[in-house]
Amino acid sequence: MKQVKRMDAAGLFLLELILSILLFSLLAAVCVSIFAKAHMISASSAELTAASSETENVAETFRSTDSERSFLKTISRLYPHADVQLRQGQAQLYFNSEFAECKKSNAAYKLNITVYQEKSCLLAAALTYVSCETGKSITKQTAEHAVSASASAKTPSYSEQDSASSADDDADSSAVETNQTAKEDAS
Amino acid sequence: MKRKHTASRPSPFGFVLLLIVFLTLAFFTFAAISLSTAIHDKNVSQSLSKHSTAYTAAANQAEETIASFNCAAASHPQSAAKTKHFSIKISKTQTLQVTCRWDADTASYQTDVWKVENTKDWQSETHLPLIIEKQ
Repeated sequence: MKQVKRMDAAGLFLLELILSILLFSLLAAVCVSIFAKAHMISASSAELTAASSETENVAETFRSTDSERSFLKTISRLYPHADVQLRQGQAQLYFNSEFAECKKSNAAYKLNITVYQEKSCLLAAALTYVSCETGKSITKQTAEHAVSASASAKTPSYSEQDSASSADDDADSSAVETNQTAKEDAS
Repeated sequence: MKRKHTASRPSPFGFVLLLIVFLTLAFFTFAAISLSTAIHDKNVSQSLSKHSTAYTAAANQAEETIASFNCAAASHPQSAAKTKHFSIKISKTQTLQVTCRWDADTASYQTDVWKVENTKDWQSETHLPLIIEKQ
């Protein structure tokens, strides 16, 4: 009789154990999905904060310079790994997964900059912070900067930039590009 | 005759379930706190981005105004006003105050004052509610 009672208790304990493990697995799965969701939200908010901050930095740099050329030169000085094309009025800044500036090969994010003449006496820079992995743009901003009429007349439009390139431009852009290549070789 | 007294062992039935309930509650609490913190972080990031966008829009508007002054002054440099002042609304609580001065050397208006001013009292938000209220 005792034997039967002991068997019953052992069976009940086993049943409880099985049910508890089952319940725990189910609830743990729900908890893990909540943790994963929290992690993804944190990652996206970190991306957004970094993107806003970096875009704002570049926009302020653009407003503090007096021409397209001086802006792009300042960018190549402030961001040593930046890919600057003076002739096209474009630049790409690369950032790693920790939002620090890095080489193109290690980039997780990039900031595309395009400078153009919005209208007379007004230059504009289109700034787009893009995730390299997904290609999705995180922030998009346009910064404008007033210049004098004479400086504005010197800034060529897109079509002019493509067709005409002065010898000075050639020298400057090749210097920047050579600088970039030399840095990559050295590293 | 002495009867053998055997101490009855307590049945383990219920302990495991109790432990599981405790563990699950702990897990749920941590998960809820981490989700709530992440959502609030996201709200802060979004408000930062929104503020940055609003400031950029106001700054762009100010630059456009200065550009229009420059263009007008370029055609009639003699009639260009020495200083110009204007303000642009950034948000309900902030405005951008700009003062620029005519510089004959560069033939353009140079910014003298570029200042964000609070129009209402600013109150910091330091609380972190666990339950997220829909806005």
